This record gives sequence, structure tokens and C-alpha cells, in this order.
Amino acid sequence: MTSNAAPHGEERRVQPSAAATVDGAPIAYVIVLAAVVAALSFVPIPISAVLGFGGTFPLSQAVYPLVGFILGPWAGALAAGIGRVIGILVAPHTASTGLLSTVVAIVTAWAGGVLVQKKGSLWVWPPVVWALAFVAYVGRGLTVDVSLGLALASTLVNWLSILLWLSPLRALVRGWIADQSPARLAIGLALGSWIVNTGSFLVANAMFYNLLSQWPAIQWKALIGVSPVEHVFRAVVGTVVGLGVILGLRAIGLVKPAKAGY
Amino acid sequence: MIGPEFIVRVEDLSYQYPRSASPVLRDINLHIRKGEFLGIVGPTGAGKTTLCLALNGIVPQIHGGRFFGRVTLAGLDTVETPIHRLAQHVAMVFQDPETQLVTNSVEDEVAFPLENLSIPREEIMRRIPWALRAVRLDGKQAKHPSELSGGEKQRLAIAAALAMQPEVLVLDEPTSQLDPQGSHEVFATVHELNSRLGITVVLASHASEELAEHADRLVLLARGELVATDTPARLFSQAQWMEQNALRPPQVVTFFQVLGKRGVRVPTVPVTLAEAIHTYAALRPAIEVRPPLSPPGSEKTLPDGVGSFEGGVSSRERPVALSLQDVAYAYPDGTRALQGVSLSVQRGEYAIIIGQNGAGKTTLVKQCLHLLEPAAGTVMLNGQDVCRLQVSEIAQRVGFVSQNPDNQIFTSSVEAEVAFALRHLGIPKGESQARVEESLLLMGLTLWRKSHPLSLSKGDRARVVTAAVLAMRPDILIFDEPTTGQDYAGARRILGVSQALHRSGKTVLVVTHHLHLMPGYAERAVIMGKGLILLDAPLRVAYHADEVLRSTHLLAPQIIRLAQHMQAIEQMQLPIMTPEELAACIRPRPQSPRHPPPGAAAPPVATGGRP
Repeated sequence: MTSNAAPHGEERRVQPSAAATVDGAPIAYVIVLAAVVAALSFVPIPISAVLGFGGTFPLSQAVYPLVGFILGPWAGALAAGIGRVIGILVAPHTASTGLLSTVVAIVTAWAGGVLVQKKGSLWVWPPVVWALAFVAYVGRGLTVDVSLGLALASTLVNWLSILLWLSPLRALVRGWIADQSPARLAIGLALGSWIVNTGSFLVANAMFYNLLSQWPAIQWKALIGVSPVEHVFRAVVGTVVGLGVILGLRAIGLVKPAKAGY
Repeated sequence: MIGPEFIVRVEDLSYQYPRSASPVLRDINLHIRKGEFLGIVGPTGAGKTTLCLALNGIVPQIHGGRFFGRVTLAGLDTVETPIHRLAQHVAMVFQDPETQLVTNSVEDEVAFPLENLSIPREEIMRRIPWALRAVRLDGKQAKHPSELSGGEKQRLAIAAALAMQPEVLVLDEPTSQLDPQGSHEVFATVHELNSRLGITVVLASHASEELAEHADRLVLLARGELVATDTPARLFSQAQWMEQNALRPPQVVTFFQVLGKRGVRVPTVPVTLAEAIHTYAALRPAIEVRPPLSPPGSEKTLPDGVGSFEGGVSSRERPVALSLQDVAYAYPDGTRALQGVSLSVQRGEYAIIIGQNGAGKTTLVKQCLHLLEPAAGTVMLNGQDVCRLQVSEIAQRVGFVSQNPDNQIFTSSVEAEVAFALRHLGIPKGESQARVEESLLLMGLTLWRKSHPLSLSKGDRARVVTAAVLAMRPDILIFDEPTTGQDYAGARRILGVSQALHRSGKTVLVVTHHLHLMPGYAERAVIMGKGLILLDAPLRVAYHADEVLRSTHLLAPQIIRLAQHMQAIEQMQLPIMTPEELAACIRPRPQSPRHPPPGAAAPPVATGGRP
């Protein structure tokens, strides 16, 4: 057989071992990414404290969307959930909402996985979830001491992410994440991480505000400045980590999870 | 034709990795008998690892890609059968042990696959000590795998596979990080499993001497194709195949082939040491042996064709580049890795540090780089205490290529990796680019400059790291096992670069187990064992210090062991280091019948060293 000749053997249909996958993602990938989430849960980021607002948040928050981009919606949600639970148990000081923060991990990774799906109607649901969280959070605020204008300003980036999700940008982001160009991949990761994280954070706010602590109006004001910075930080970290991981995964040629977006 | 005795059948196998432009294996047809010991040889990139991975379904079930043909193992199709079912029949030891160690203790690591196979507890408890003893890890049951040296990790991975006592054991360069004695023992252990338990062994390796000794049959792969399959004796004696595929035959093969060119009639070229001793005995009436003129360690030149006895004497007069004085270090688990080590390396010297796995070689190197703080003693770099130097200052003076190249890879392209440190050192862009070009060229990486480092083989990744270090142009270069995982051509290329740097005045330190590769490159050998320096001597003296070598689980290269046997018979000193040097000590007796091959008459073949 010369280098250009067709192989003599019959081509076989290749698929990942069915016994070891979750929604098309090899179970080993789920375990590895759960471990990454757990490890990053131990690293508290003091951005909020630096800005004079509250304490820290765990670095793992930055990679929840990435977990979804790599594994797809359901396997991503599983990996992020398992990783976050382990992270909370080992480093409870990084979870101000305790085990409730697992819900945010699951929703964010799931939304990340949904974002990169080309087919199906699953894309409808993340904005529905976010919108319900928005209503629960802002609605509750309005019943206490927050004006509508302040509530909308405070959640500007959050509801903006819902609008961006519903716009054609979502399809563009999906295409950029799948693009072979590192530059376009980076843009896709940055925008994708920002939209998914910012939208899903409404769930965290809704849970915290309704179940744990109703912060005063002055805190809503502070969030106008703090929230965008935090979300940009998460998107930057997600992009840096994601770029290396995805380029590496492409380079080593391991089988790609069925619902992966890269 | 294909009988039931074949446990592995590879039929028309072609395989292409995802995103790869061409197949890495092409139309491979191979049948492996039950109980056979099959060796796979071939240069880097020949497809050896991929063929190994195809035997247990990892290719294509984990890697994806395009798979043509059929591979069956114990009657199971490796594309259709889940990997966990195949694992009941086949165990694998990967080239990089880091990729397969998953538990928190040595004992658990060996137990893990057995537990997954539902082996009864009593049997697991019986197999653990057996497997650990087989690889010399007994007594380390409680250690965390991360606390083991590179070689120990590799032996642990082998122990975990051995414990499974599978029908087929696939090993991909299992001894590349082992000391020579460890390598010898692993081959012996695998051979025992093969001969006593009937386990079929498939072993890819560059270790020609060991394969010649143990394998029933060899498969030669090149550029993804099966070039030849034959017995070690027939395959290794085919000089043309060896040369074309940049393979190194066992040293005794080279020796007898050179003898043949010198007019000595060698009826059959032996491939093992035992056969060589036998052949030599048969040849004795027809040959004369004359000792080299100069004693070991001398700088006097030997007769033509014998090369020179290079020593380290003149180097003693050069200024000191690196020195350790009474350095001691113990790891947190209490392991005393260095016990009062003193060593002085002169500027422009080329020395090797050798010793068993866990002897303290890498720890010593880390002290030189101040990656570890000495518990006692001082480490001086060009007269300055390394503890007082910034990491960046040390990095500019000492280039370090670590044992595991992946520890030093950060970026997403080969070119960016080589330029990485230069950018952070503030080297101007033009000069930086020139240095990158030079380094890529030196290491033969120009074609892969845009590739992601992780898409390359481990041997190639080591070359990327070497190129990155070279680009910094440090005065001292330390290579930790630079030839591990390299084929003969790759190893020669790296050592050639180290030699060129040495000739340009750089100080070179090489930690290595590949003693057979170093003559012609290094001047001096530091032999370590259990955290101590056992011998610090010119290379030639060290290679013949048999007792010291054995005390630290090293074996002298095969040709030196043959020379030692000849010394005992001939009652003369033969302080040689290479097959060519030994052959130059031998000539046909004038009265004996001579059958020189055409054109191979008189002058002895040159060289004491390789390049």
C-alpha cells in the first residue's frame, strides 16, 4: 500500500464505548472535569472584596460554562454538580450559599452545553429558567424596598445576557467555539462564558435573595458597578482556561464527546 | 492457515487519528500465537504505540478516528467489544506511567485493577506482594505514587499489569525510564510470565539487547507499515534494515559485523551476550587479541582505530561552574535522597550522572536549580550560592530539560513554546526570532513549528523542551534522561546537540540510564547510589567499575560485559567502551584461513566514539 492508496481493510464504524458514556460523553471526561471543578472550588477569588463588596467567589464559577461546552448539556451538568458538591464539602468557606450553589453550577454548565448544540429545541429553556429567576429576584426586590429603575440597572448585565441569548449572536458564538482558529475560539469562549454565566447568575441571586438574605437597596446600587466586573473576570478566566484545554484536546486527538461544542 | 492457536489476529488494519492527514498504520497483517513473546521495533513515529493501543480497543474507542480492517483478541473484536470487557483478557503498560497511576498508595494501585476484575480478596492480597517484588517495589506499599521516582512509577504501572496475570500483556516501551538493572529485571519478569504462565507478551521497545534475549519474534514497523517480521537473530543481523530504519542492533551484533569487515570469518552473527561468548570461544583459534596501549583513565591515544582514552584530567584545571558541598536533603516522607553529597563540575565539562532509580540523581539536579532547598550544605553556581540567586537568574545560567517534558510545556504551538522564555527575558524580537529558528533547526522541529506540542510523541515533546532551553543559551545545560523514549536517531540527534554545545564551551550534565549511548560524548561519570556519590571518575574507568555499577543496579553496556569476559580468558586488560574499539583489538591470526569480504581488507575501522 502506498501512502496514497486506499486501505485494503473495510472501514469500521467507530463510536465511543457505549457502556462508559453519559449522554455521549466518556465517563472518564466527566470524572476529570468534575475533578477540575472540585479543585478550582478551593481557590477563592477576592474580586468582590477588592471592589469593597462582600467576600470571595470560587474560581470554579469561571469554568462551569466551559464544562458544558466540552461535555454537552447533561454530562456537563453532572460533572459541574459533582465537582461543586465535592468542592463545597472540602472547602465550605468558598460557598456562601452552601449546597445551594450546586444548583448554579448545574444550571450554568447545562446552559453552556445547550449553547453549543446546533440541533434541537433545548435552546429555548435556559432563557426561560433565567427569566423565571429574574422574576423571582427582581419581583421580590420590588416588594421590599427596591425601585424598578434600580432593579433594572442592578441586573442590567443579567437581562442583557437573556436578550443576547435570544439574538443571532448565540449561533455566532456556537460557530466560533467550533472554529479551528484560536482567535475565533477565544472570542467564542469569552462571549459564550459571559452570556451563560451572567444569565445563570440570576438563579444564584434569586435563591440567595429569597431563601437566605434580603440585602438592602443600597446593595442593589453597589451591584450596578460590581456585577459587570465580576462577570467579565469570570469570562476572562473561562477563556484563558478554555483556550488551553480545547486546543490541547484537539491536539491530542482523543475522541470528542457526542454533544461537545469544540 | 490461521489456526486456533492465534490469540491476536490483526487483519488489514489501517488507522487514521482524528484531524490527521494520513493513516498512522497501513494494512497491517499480523497473527500472534498464544504464549508468544513478540517484540515491536521501529523508529519514532512508526506506529508502535498505535498498534499497541489497537490491541486493547483504546484505538479507536477512545481516540476515535478512521479504523479499517479488523483486530481480534481472544476472539473478541476490539472495535465492537467494550474496553472493560477486553481488559479481562489484555493488560497494558503505557509508555508514560503518569497516565495510568490513579490511587493513593502503591498497594492500592496494584489492587485497583484486580478489584475491578472481581478477583477474591485473598488472591488480591497474594498477588500484591508478588507483583511488587517482581519489580523491586516491595517495602514501598504505603507510599503515595507521586512520591516515587520516574522509574519507580514505571515499575509500579508494570506491577499493576503483572498482577492481573492477563492472557495478553501489552507493554509500550516499559523500560524507557528504568535503570539498566531494572530494565533487565522487568524483561526477565515478563519473560517468566511468558514462559511459566503462558502469558502472551507484546512489547514495543528500543532496547535491542533485551529484545534479542527474550523475544521469540520481532515485528519491524516503519512509517506505519509492517516492514518485516522475523526472529531477533535474523532481523537484527540485517544491517540494511537496521540502517534504513535508524535502529540500533545489539552491541554484540555490531562487534561481530565489524570483525567480519576486518577479515575475521564469523559464520553466524550472534545477537545475545551468551551467544557472543560462545561465538568468541569458537573464533579464538583463528584470531589474535591485543590490548589497547594505554590504561584506563589515561589521555594517551590508543593505536589507530581504537580511539582515545578521553579522561577528565585536563578539565580539573578549569574554573568551577557548579559545586555542591556536603549537601543533604530528605523528602517530607523521610526518604533521605541526598546524604552529604559533594561534587564539583568545571566550566566546559561534559559529565553524566548515573545510578539506580531513586539514587538521588534528579534530587541532586533540583538542588543545582534551587528547586529544592538543601537541608544542609551549600550549592554554588559560578561561585554564588544558589539560595541567594533569583529563579530568573538561575534560569538564564542553567538550562534544564526535565525527565517529563510535559512539566515544561505551556503553550499551544511548538514555535510559541520555544519563544516562551525569551519573551519573558526581554530578548528583542529580532534576536528572539533568530534564536527560535536556530533551535528549531537544531532539534529538527522546523516542520512542526505550528503543531500543538501535545500532538507530538513524547520523544518529540522532549525535543521541543530541549529547543526551548537551547534558545535561552545558558552556560550550563542539565538534561534529565534526555534520550528516554527516543529512537536511536532521535537520541543521537539530542546527544549531538549536547556535544556541539559542549564543544562551544558549555558545561553539560546528563542524567541517564542509557550508558551505551554516552561514549564519545561524555568525559566523566558520577555514579550515585542511595543518596551518595559512589564513584566520580573518567567515563572509561566508571564503565569498567563493575562492582560499583552493580551496587547501584547498573549494568555495564553489553560490549563491556563481553570485553570483561574476554579479559578473563585472555588475561589482559581490554578497557574498551564501544564495539568498534573492541573489534580494533582483534585481528585474524596470520596463519589462519581468511575469508575477507570484498573490499574490507586492511585498515581497522576507526573510532572510539560515535560522532
